Amino acid sequence: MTTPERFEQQLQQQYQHNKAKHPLPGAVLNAIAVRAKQRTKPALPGLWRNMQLAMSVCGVLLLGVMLQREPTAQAGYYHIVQIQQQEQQYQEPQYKEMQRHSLSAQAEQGVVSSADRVDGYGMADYFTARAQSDNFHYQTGLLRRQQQDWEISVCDDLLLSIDHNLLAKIAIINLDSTAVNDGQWVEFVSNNKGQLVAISPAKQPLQCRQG
Amino acid sequence: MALSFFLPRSSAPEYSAEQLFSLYRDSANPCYLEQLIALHGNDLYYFLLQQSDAALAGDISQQCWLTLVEQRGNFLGLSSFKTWLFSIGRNRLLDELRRLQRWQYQQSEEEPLAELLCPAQQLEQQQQQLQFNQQLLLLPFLQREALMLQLEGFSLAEISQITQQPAQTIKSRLRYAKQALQQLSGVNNDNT
Repeated sequence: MTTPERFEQQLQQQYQHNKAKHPLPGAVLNAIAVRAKQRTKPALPGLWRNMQLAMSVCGVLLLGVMLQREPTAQAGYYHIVQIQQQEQQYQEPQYKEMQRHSLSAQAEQGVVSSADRVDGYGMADYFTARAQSDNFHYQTGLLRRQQQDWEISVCDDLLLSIDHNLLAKIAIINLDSTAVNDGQWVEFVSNNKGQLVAISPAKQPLQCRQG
Repeated sequence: MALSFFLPRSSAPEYSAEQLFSLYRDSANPCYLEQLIALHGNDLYYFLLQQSDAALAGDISQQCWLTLVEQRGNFLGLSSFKTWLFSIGRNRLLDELRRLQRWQYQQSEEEPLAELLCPAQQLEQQQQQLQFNQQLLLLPFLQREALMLQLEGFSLAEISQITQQPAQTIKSRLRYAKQALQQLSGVNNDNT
């Protein structure tokens, strides 16, 4: 006959003894080990995936930078206003001021007036700030084709020589540009920098002073 | 060695099961899993073995540990790691027994073993001085389960949590289980 305490003690001893005789089978351990090993492998594909993502982002950024610096890209064009003295190139007719407006990939050295990006403060701003007419100057002149380029003359006060590339650019922005033709009176708009930002058909011709 | 690919255990510091689980969850380093299995792998297997057979116990043990491998976020720390592990093991075992239609123990869960055995059987078993393991197998499933969990070191509250039964029910099962074992081993004193 044993006491209850002795019984509890024996129970615990027998339990531990029997448990020790029945360990977790090696086959089970192997199966768990194999799976655990497999689960550690995805770290490499995960790293590779992250690297691919990072490389893609870098690629896009690099492409963006390259596009921004690309001379032929549209965003890289500069609007050049070149003001020339009349005796330098033109003998007749006599104009008080002559300007050469052109679109160039890079700002040229020796430009008399100003150069600005086409997509900068220029044509686009004309439409957004149209109501604030103080920022723009409206003039009426006669549009004529001059070989590949175009000219706008304002009586004998001003002659604008416009590079055909720039005119095309303005024409894209100017909604009324489809009606622009050779020998037509047009209203042209310049910003504070003197850059041509828009051309549209004039409602009425300009009356020049005689003499 | 089955886990020979793991890092040598001697190089690792001593951690509790909960710490090891956290380390394994965060790093997926098999070294920590090995230590967890070393801590509780045999306990769980033996518990399952006493409630089923070697094949099923091995299979369910594997499932439990693979659950840990595949879904490391499952253990939320609301109980001890061992309690959580045994809960999973026990639930899977019951599911599997039901699936195999081997679950037939509910009817007798609250009855003392003495009432299930005829006097001749009791006498015979006492005379044969059955081995502990054989005595355990004579207990009803739920009584054996409660006793095994207590011998495994779980408190009444933890057994209640694992089995999802009220503490009072667990106390009754333990009492009946021990009475039965006492009868089988020749101890007459009531021991609850």
